[in-house]
Amino acid sequence: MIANDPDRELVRRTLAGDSGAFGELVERHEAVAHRVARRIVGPDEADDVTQDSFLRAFHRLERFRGDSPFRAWLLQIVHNTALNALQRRRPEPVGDSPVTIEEPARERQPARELEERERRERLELKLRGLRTEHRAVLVLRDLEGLAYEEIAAVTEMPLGSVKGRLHRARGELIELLRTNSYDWELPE
Amino acid sequence: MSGDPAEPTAADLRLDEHLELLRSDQTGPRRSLAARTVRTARWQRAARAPLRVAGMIAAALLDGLGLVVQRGRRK
Repeated sequence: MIANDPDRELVRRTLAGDSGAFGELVERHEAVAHRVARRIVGPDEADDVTQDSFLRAFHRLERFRGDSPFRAWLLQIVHNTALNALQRRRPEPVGDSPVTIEEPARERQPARELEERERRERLELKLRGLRTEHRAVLVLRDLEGLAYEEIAAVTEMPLGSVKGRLHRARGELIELLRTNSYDWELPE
Repeated sequence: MSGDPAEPTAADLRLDEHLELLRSDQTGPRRSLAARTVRTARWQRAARAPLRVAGMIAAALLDGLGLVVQRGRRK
């Protein structure tokens, strides 16, 4: 097991039957796991995918060899669980569908904040329009800032494929944003 | 996008500015999933062994039933 993995002790205690330690692992990583899940499957299924991933991790923890950090191993499970969830459902419409913002929030928020939120939601929608394999690497690299080596471990791809796929993912997202009624001001 | 292999284009740089919108959103689930997940993990672990035994018994019963049906047909 990697000596400087900050989760090492919690993993050891969980394996020894301490479910409180597992709870600490969930608390430590639920935000990143949820963001990755949400950006791959969308907000409606993100909670389920995140919880399912943690449960899978719990039951497979004995198989965790520790030759990569626990976070990378967990994100591999989140990634696979999210892809499985996508395979089970129909494709999501990706066009310029209107972004719905809850009315009570609209009343409280200043215009600029609202506009930013709307742009964020539009962008998330476009992100989910990317091909699945592109979406995952772009989320892991450009949004979560994982190193290429970590992404290779999470997606179980060779390092060279990760770099190539990321390049194509950015190109695809740029094209998606260009073919949009909303002006993202992307130079040719 | 530092450390990337190819020199980023103007569009790449603009895209990265847009993606900052998403990067700045560090929110996790609305409510922590920890308590619910630990509870589910506990009962799933507790139920695993009895379920495995029940599965093995059911499989053995089905095997036995299959043999009885086969013998009945031969007769």
